[in-house]
Amino acid sequence: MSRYVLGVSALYHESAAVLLRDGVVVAASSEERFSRQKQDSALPVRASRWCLEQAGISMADVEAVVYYEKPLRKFERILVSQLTGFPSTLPAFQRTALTWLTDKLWVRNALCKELGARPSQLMFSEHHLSHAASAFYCSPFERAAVLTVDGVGEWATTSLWQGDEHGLKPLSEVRFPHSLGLTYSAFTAFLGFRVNNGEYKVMGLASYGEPRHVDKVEKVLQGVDGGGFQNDTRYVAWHKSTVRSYSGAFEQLFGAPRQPGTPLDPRQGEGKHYADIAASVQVVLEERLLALAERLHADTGLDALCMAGGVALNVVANRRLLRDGPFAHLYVQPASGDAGGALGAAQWAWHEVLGQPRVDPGLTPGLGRDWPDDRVRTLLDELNVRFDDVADDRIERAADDIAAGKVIGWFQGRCEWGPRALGHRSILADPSRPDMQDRVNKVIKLREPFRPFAPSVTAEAADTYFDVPPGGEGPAEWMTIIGDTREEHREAMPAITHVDGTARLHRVRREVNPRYHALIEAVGARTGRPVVLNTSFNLKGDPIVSSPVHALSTLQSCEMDAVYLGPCRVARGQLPRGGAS
Amino acid sequence: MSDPTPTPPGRVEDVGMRLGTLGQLLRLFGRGKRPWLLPLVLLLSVLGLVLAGLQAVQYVAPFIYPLL
Amino acid sequence: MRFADIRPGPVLVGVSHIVWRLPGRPATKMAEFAHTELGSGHDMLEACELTPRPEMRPLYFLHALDELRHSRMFRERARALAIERSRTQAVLDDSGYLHSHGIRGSDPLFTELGELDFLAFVWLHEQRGAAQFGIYAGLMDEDPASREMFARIEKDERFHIAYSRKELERLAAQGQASAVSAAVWRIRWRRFKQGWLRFSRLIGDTMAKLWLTVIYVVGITPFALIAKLTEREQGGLVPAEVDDRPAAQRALEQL
Ligand SMILES: [Fe+2]
Ligand SMILES: [Fe+2]
Ligand SMILES: [Fe+2]
Repeated sequence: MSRYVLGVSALYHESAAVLLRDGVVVAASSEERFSRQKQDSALPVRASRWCLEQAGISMADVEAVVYYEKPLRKFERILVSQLTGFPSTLPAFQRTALTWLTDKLWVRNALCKELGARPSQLMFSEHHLSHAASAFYCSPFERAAVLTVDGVGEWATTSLWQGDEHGLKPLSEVRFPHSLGLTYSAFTAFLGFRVNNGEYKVMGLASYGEPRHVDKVEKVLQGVDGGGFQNDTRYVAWHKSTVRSYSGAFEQLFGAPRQPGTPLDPRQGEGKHYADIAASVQVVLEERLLALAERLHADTGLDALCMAGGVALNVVANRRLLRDGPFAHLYVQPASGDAGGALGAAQWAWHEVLGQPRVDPGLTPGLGRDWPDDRVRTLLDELNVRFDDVADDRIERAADDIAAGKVIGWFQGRCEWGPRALGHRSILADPSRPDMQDRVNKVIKLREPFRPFAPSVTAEAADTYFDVPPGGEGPAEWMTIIGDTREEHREAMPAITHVDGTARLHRVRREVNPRYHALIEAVGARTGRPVVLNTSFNLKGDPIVSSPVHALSTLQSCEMDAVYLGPCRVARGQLPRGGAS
Repeated sequence: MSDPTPTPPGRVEDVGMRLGTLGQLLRLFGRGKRPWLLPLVLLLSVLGLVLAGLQAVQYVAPFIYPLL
Repeated sequence: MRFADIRPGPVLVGVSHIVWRLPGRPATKMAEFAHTELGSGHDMLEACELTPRPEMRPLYFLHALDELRHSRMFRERARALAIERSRTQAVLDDSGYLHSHGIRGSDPLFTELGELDFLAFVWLHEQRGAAQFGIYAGLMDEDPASREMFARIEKDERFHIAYSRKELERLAAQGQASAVSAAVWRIRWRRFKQGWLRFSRLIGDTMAKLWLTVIYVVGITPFALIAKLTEREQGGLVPAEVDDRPAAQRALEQL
């Protein structure tokens, strides 16, 4: 009989649920894909119920429900840091003590009440242990060094581990309030972007700037002997406040913060200044990660590195680590944010608490909700949406559309695990059209014009067009590393090449996603290049679409040309007109 | 396939779990590096229990506050 | 069974008049509307997906598309107003997000209510929305762009009220009159209950904050002093704490 473990992360950042059957992932989803609230942090009531449905089991069949951190230790950290910050922590104390005393302290009760678990089923992992497990147990390495870096978990903000046949062994850690993740987030806020969401923009902005302010950033965040780092807490506020992440001294150092929502041209004037700051932060972050990697390498003597935690989503730093760091092999958990903690918590429990041997967890891009072809057809019929049934030639038709300069929605198979769209819920276009970046940015995604899009390329052709450091092929399949667009192709693919010549490529193997692979090849047959522009299928501020009705409403809301919903092609003009209008 | 809908724990069990959590909390501070924090944690725990109790009777809670 | 639509009461009209004139209010109010409309758009999409009655699906779908469009209209208007009156856009930049990240997580409204109650909800809720938008449309003397937008939206709201009422009337005529009127009353009662709970929660939070403030001001000083003396915010890498507990025991504890 099969054995099941359910992992749950919630109540801080993005919440998620993951179900393992005999150690293999059968279902995994963030709650946001159900609740439609971007980065929803509420208990993953719907995601976990769906996981059980997907496996055809009930909660009673689950051996353990594993929460991804130790709530009481987190409470301790919050309490202690507010005491040390006395007397300026009153507002923070009022707010956090209230949410903790009314809700977060009682997470055990909530897990039982909301998810239907029995108290005897509950287990509690640790925040960084969950991250570490999600990286190590999903990696192909038998033995590896593991580095987890994020904002903060319980006390640790950075942890060094060794993973081998005995499990995960903690080596050393950096503790709150010293934090790489929170430092990066403080700059994210300073640069006028949303914390926990805009870090990508800082990274994109950095490419336009020059690192002129490294000395200043190093005042905020210094490296110390032994590979670690520390913050000068005079410049930061995250240990004292729930709303501010940097202090007045920080503003004196870097000048006025950028107003959110104002236009930003990173090539000149003020915009350039902010780009220079972003570039400096990026450089300092990379230096600190390199130092941590050196230390980890010295301590373990291993040549493979696994990473997770929000900072591991910094794909620029990941390349630097692989290129300039001591490790020859790299694995990055694609869901490196806290959603991935649900996966790691479950894996930790399976292997280290229940003592089960390592298995291939079967992590594929599509582990979320699925819609059978017939249900899509029936739904469209019932909605009076006209469509072309392209079940047999969807690849040819979609390739024709893309080659003709159309922007299409590609909704095929199960929804993605992790924050990136990997060819299941993607918006696709031809990257060689000069106007394409602008068009997709302005009319469809409403994004900042300075951010380029990512390319999906067949694994066979990846080396022809892109240059990824050795050992980066695996991460490139999950878009957790960047490469360079080769010099001779840069001009031809402006929409997917960043100002510094880099590209956040998505390397697609036939065995992993045959349909998407075939599509890219078919596009190649028409355009001469097996490369498509790939961005997540959603509007600004929305989570990735997970059901056909979301896809249709997205089609109606923006100027996409058509959507390939399973076997059906719906063009923009085929949607029914809205209500009174 | 059996019914996946949750069966909420009963009142007694709910209170029991909360007390269990508090027990762990006190143990964390009692045995850990910060025994001096115990009195404060105890005070906050009591407040937490009161708030949880008021949450359980949220419909009549506004009438209870004046009594506290 | 009456299916008369609600008219806005004088209190609502009066309050709206005052509130609207507060500086910066129009922009933030529009941003708030953008949030609520987005929320109802999602509710309607879920109903569209979940309803067991195929004939309702296209209606819910059109309704959803309307609400999502309204949300975008409000968001754009909020942004335009904020720029015009040079107020900060910090709030507005995020108006695509829903902020109610609770602790609990929740089921779709449709699942919570069921089809009949959901229809009753739509009918009552849309009337309230239309009434409110009607009032605001009347306040836009100096702002023709907003007035026009409200007028267009109100037209859509009429459609939402009309189809839900028609459906309720149809069900009532099919011999479910008492069930329909019970559903309408249940939704009214639910709304009242929710209002009361919000009030209860507000008082509860205020009281709790008061107690916490007292604790902080009166009781916390000695602890803070000890903390300041004993807690070193030591940076750099420190050895990880060794946890002697066997994994099985460690897993069961929250500490
Ligand atoms: Fe984390
Ligand atoms: Fe509306
Ligand atoms: Fe409406």
